[in-house]
Amino acid sequence: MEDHKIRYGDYLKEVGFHRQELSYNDLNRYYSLKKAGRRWLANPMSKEWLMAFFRLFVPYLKNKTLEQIRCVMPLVLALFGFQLLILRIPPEQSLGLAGGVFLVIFGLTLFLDGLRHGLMPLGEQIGNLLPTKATLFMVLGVAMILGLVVTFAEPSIGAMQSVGASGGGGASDFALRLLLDYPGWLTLAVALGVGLAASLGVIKSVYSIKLKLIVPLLTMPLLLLSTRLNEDGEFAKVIGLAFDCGAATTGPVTVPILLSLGVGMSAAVGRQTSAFSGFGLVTLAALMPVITVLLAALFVYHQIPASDQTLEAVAEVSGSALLSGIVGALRAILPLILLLLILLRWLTGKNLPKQGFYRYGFVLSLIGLAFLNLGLSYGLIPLGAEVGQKISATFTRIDSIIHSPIYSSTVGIFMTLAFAFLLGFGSAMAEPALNTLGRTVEDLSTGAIASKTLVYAVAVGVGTGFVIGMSQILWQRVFFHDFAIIYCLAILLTVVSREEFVQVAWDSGVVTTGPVTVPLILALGLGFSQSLGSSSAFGMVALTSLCPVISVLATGLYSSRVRVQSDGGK
Amino acid sequence: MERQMTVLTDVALITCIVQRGRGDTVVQAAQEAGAHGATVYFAKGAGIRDRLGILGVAIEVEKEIVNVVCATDQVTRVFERMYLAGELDAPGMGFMYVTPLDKAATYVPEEVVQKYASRKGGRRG
Repeated sequence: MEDHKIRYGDYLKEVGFHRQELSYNDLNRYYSLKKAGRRWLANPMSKEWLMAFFRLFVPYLKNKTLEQIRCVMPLVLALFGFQLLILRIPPEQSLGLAGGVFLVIFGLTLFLDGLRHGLMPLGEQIGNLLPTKATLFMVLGVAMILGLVVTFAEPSIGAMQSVGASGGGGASDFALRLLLDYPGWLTLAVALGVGLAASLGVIKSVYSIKLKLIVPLLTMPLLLLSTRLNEDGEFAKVIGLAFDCGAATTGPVTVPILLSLGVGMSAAVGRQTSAFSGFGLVTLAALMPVITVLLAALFVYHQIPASDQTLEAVAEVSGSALLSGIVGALRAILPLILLLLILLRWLTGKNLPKQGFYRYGFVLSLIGLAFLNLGLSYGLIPLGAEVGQKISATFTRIDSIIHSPIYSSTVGIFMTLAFAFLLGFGSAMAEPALNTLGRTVEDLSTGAIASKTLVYAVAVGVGTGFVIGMSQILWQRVFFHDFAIIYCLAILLTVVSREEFVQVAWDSGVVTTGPVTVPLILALGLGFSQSLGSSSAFGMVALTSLCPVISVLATGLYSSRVRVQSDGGK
Repeated sequence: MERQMTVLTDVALITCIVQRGRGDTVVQAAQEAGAHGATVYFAKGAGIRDRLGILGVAIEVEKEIVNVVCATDQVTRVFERMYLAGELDAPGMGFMYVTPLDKAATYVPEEVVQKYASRKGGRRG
């Protein structure tokens, strides 16, 4: 008997799903014949377009929103949960606050997506083109201007101001007065610092100077200057403010722009072989403003006689918050967009390619930022301040809470600090920039530094930093003393670590203090310090940005030691 | 023991380009359809977003490329499964193709070599 043979492949071809063949030549001919050309689905009302919309856009939006919610939810739950379970008070106006938090999530989602489509590719393109078309001096100048403009666009600085305004109690406080009465000076100083940092970053990538070298060189004089200033009582608080400014500047606008510029630039000029050479720029952008702010503070201090003004113009937060949110967003983003467009025009002589995408990105980031501003002033900031004020009810008497102190002093303080750690941890996890950085690092290191490891290390660092900050308020410690010790530790670790880890560690510490962390931590800290009658909460942000540096460096050292050991064992 | 190589014939390569983050589902589908393994790497795409107008915003520029080597008998089935899993029937979702391969080589268990190499006239490398 003879076998009857069928190829299995043929069989499957028959039973498979509906399929037809089309020659690619035909497809090509069809599109070259059509004048309208390369567009698919040109008619937005057709059935096919709607199908595509549902299959592409809806899951896309869902993913983006879910991602943000996943990031922010633990934080919000911690805040509400603390109020309900431990303090046993229902949060006032909780509906409004929840709305504000929702706005923050929504705004962040839009804003980040807008950045990804608009400003970031533009920045990268300019960073790529700049070195080929301009001399080093021009590049330095452009970097300087860009740094300046970027700072004005940064929402974190604005958030700092509005937090300071809403909690502005101690009128004689020089640091607060600097923040509120001379916001122009402060912002200008910060902007100048970022501008300088951007130029320095260019020099760094051109001459491939190691961050390991720059950080100690830059921070040593900084610490010396601060130590000198710290002897003056009034000035001690400005030091905290200055370091806070540095940490806060590097927020959601500055970081992506500087990073994309740096990556483009170092790809075009840098002689460094490491994939990480674009990193480190952000760190500079956080260190330089500290110096400029300190200098500006010195200048202002000598300009005004002490205590000639009291704080009266505190907080016009109300009014039309919606309008101010939109205006704030416009004022922040528009100059930046214009500058980038002018630069592109100057470099290439052409207008935007792919205009639709960029425009979509610009509009989206504008709308997103407006919502973010609105949500911050209605949601996160009041929520943080409220919890901050009431948190001390766990261990001391607070008038507004009936049965305070709720717990005995030791338990209460322990709970407060534990809560601070959780909150710092949560807000770091919620920070969008951190997750982006984690993914970038994982990509660039081809998995050697896992995204998860980095994010957790940073979050632990932020939590620890927040605990230290809270304990400073609690026991009325001088900010600078502890800070200097921690700083020295960070520098020490920097010197002994490998360059890649140094760059990742400093950048991640700096990046983390963004639009979620800064307002929340400041608001909470200010509320907490007010309820205790303590002086000020400045320096909190700086601590939460410094501690992750240590934790990441330590993780790096530990993991490379483990690797060496396991290699030696073979 | 003397080292030897077994050359595999009748193989084909399926390459599937999808958006970043969607590679895993495609790999899984390929494996369920009978492919033994897959290689995934990262890449950047261009072109398709411009064609889609505003819808292009939803398409990631960053791509994953999935390479699957399978037997020619399986190729249609695996190709089909990967197509469906990757939702390539929606615009902008990706692109895939099959390349015929001349030969391939990897570790082949001794018992398999014993059984088939002798049947086809002892073509042992």
